[in-house]
Amino acid sequence: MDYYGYVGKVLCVDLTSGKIETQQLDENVIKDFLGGWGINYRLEYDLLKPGTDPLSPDNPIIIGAGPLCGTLALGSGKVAATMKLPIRASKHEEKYIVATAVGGSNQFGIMMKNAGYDHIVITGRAKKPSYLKIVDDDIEICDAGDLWGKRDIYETSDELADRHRGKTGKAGTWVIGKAGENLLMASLGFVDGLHTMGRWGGAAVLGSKNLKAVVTLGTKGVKVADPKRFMALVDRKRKQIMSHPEFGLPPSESFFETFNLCGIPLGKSPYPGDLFGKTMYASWGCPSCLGPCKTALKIKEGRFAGTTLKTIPVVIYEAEKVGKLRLPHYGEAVKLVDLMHRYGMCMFTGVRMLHFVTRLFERGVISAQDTGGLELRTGDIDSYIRLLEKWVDREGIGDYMAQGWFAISERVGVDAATDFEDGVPIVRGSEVQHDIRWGNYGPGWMLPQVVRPKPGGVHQRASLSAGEDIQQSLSEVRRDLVEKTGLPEEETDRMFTANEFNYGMVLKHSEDAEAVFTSLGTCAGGGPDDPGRDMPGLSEIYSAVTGFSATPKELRSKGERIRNMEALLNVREGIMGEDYEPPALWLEHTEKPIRVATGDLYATDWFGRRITKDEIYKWMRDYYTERGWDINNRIPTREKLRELGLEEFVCIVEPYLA
Amino acid sequence: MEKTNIEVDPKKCTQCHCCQLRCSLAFTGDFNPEKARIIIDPPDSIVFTDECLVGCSLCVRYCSYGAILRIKKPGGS
Repeated sequence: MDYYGYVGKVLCVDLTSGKIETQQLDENVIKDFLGGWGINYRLEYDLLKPGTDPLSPDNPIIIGAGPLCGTLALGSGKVAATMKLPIRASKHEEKYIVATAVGGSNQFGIMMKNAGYDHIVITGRAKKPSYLKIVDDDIEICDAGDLWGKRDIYETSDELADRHRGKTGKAGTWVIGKAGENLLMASLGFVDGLHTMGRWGGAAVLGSKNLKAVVTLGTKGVKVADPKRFMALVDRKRKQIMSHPEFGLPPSESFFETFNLCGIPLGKSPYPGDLFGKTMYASWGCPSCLGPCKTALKIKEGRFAGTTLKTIPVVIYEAEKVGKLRLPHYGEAVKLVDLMHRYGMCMFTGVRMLHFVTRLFERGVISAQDTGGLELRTGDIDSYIRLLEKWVDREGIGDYMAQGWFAISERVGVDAATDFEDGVPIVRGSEVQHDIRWGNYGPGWMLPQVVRPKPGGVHQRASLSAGEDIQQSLSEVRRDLVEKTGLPEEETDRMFTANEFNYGMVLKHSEDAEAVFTSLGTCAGGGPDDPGRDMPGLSEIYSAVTGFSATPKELRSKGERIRNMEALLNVREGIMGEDYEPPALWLEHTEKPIRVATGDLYATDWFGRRITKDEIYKWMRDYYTERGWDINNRIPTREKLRELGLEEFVCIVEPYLA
Repeated sequence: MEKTNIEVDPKKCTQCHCCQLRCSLAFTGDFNPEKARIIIDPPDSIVFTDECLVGCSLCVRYCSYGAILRIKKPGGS
């Protein structure tokens, strides 16, 4: 059949045998799982054998670009990579989560679709360092000997984007760095040298396959079912966004400081107030985006003058404040994050583990004997850089850091997961993305990181409302939830009271909506007011692009199916029950304060009211009840799977249900 | 080709590809940046292919960042 929006094809590449083949995408799979990460999960179910070692050739990497990717739908550059991640999810048992990394892209997603593929499945292990070239029907496993171990993330991205450039622009790239080559759990992949995809060891899975990069370029075109109607919808949305008072404003310091710190008085930053005005020289976004969130910064003064950094600027504050590295000059924070990026590693893990090891040294828990002679000091950029090098090269203590939080905790004899002062909240072996202790993110940020297999992402919060960052009124939060998910307002009555809302109940619906957005390929942002998060609008766009109709309610139901599929894949790997316990440090924080200049901070909700352990567990129970899942095992029930048309997978949960 | 009705500032380009996507839709019926009549290479250059139509300024309408602008005629609007 003729597809619109979709190409209808999956490219399968076996790096071991060199076999390359194209498969048709089943129409029912397309309709049931939407695209991108949704279809990725359905493909993963068939392709991943339970119990597979994540770093073995048998662990498939599945890349997906949704039906809106490659069109003018606002903020539609999202791509998704699904795989079994190599971070051990339990201290006591050898088991691992299956998750999807989602990243923005400039060329990669568009060119993947234009080359003729909705999905790319990569299995096996190449005999030598290689990269996968996909230029229309010219698919080749190419020698990466000149790149592996020799070029950093930016150099590799630029080289491959130019080497395979097309008639009107560069090729798309997904690249790993030295951290991925050396199988670090903190490794991270970079898309088009700017966006990130493949955290929590995702890049190490590429490294284990001797795969340095995937390159895409295509000339086949993405067809839309009803171009006239589609462009009318796009133009209407563009007009709406471009008339917004915040349209066209660059990412400002105040915005990102608000985002990161949520008004909590952790002390005034030593960095200049006009940091971004001083350093920003370009602003970049994804295709069809009207609110670019990436910036390019250039340090103009001090020891690291000339250093550039392409990123979301919030990371500078992460290094300085939340990560507590206390680097006195902003140029040092930029330099450190830039180095991590060049190595292809996650700066969130990077900053937090550097802090943990450094503080243990200062506390006398470890000595220079343990660090290979390194004298570690908080705020000392040189000792951070030297420790980072040991980490990436897996030298001495760095080898334990490379293996993740469980390994370094065992090596130093202090459990990072319970060390209140200098440790990190850990779920399923990984540190959480947002530590609510340092930003008053509140339960709306806490719960998604606890109940999802992957411990949170930048954009996931319970209500889908920016209000959870900047303390909007409750009615505004509710309005956001209704408008973005398309839920009828009366359905939200039971979730909201006059003074608060039920984070657990709300989260179920925002997760389902997020699954839709990301599967279709739209960003959590895309412009002022998150135009990519608009279920009623997307329902119309989806129909105009694909020719399939789906109401907002039907789309949410598909999102729920996708979320249940994610759970099933993880139940099959033994991830359930206690694996979804809240991090010990967050529970402790309900009773133990963090001391800051202005007083003691406890875990609070977003109104500033202290929360209790009992409330956290209650919200979790409410979440599982709202999902229609088994509360004890925290897994889908037979009834829910049947309701969602997933009867064939009931056998996965059957052994654990009463 | 030289466009007499358009000026460009590639440093302002955010790589949103809206110009190429809209251009390719107009001339091929699909979203196909490689068939667009505009070549973007930010921050260094934005140029037009020889197939680009004199007088067309569809790309200007879809550039939201001032990287592609219609040249204002002296005294005109």
